Amino acid sequence: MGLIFAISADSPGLIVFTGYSLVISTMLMVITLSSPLIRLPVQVLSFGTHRLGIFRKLPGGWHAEIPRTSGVSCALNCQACELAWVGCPVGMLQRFAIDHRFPFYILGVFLIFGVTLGRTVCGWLCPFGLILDCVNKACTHRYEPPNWLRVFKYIYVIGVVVLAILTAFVFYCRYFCFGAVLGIFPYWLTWYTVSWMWLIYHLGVFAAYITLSYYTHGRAWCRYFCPLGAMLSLFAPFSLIKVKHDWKWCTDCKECVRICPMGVDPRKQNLMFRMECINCGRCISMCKTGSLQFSSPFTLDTPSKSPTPEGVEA
Amino acid sequence: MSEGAGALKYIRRTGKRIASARLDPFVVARVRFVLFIAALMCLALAFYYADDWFVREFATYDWARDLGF
Repeated sequence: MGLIFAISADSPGLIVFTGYSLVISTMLMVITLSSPLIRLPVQVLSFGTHRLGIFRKLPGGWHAEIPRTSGVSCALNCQACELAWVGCPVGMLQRFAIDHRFPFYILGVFLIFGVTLGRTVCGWLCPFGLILDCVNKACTHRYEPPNWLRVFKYIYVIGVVVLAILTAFVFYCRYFCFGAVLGIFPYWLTWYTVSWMWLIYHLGVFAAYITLSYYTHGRAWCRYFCPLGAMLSLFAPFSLIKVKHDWKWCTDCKECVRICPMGVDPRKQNLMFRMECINCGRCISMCKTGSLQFSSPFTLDTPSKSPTPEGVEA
Repeated sequence: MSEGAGALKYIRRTGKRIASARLDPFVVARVRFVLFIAALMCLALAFYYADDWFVREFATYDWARDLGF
């Protein structure tokens, strides 16, 4: 299956088909199952899907005839490595900026993903989201940075584009991107042409972000730095999938607030929540009363669990 | 100095007001529809006129070379 996808990468029609079928299938999974339990399998599947170029390496040596990446994903993944199958939207955005072209393609993809999934991409599809969720289990949560620091990611995305135009170079990818290690490390393993200096530098950048996450939150990158998250958050309030809260069953235990990896309050349902929520569903699985549930145009407005409003009269 | 502090206070207050705003579902549905149409138009322009689906650097290794590989 992966090989078929990899071979099909030279056809724009098939790229659109495979790309958006991924969106639709994820939506269906979220809608029909409505269970956060399937998030990990979806994340692993997405991680593998972004690295389908591995099929060029495996049977009988190196298959250079199988096309390299074309098209773009909507999740952060470094396209510089041999295993990448789809491009990174942030990298592509810089490419368009360098070439002084209007990024119709990137904007279209962002709008499609933003309107349908919103930041579900961050919670369910991003390969780095999977890594950060693993890091989150070991985090100390010692420091709670102020909420206004979230604005930094919007400044960051402007900086990414401006620096690309000024330097005519993928400045951000080369020096700051947390995801570059996912490109440089497999490239180093397969081609051995990466200088030690760059390998160590990008591992250092990766380690710096992980250390920051260790002392704050697993998703610190997503909250304060990710340019992709910043762009998606602009469209997320209008996405089809969202987490809804019903005060009728809520006991105000605040477990959902405590468990949220993005540090938002699902009970408020305000603009900040809509922009920051990655629809990971941890609050839904934590809520004992069923007052939180995934919502989409295809779901019924009924609690996903049998409500047991302890201490609260319905 | 006091003007600067006042401006900062105003920015902070406006930020809090925006963050705590709740969107009207009617407006959300309309904006979503407009965004969806805009998305289709952008993709159509990208595919049929700008030919953006394929980025030259992906086929070669310019991308990797840019990163110092």
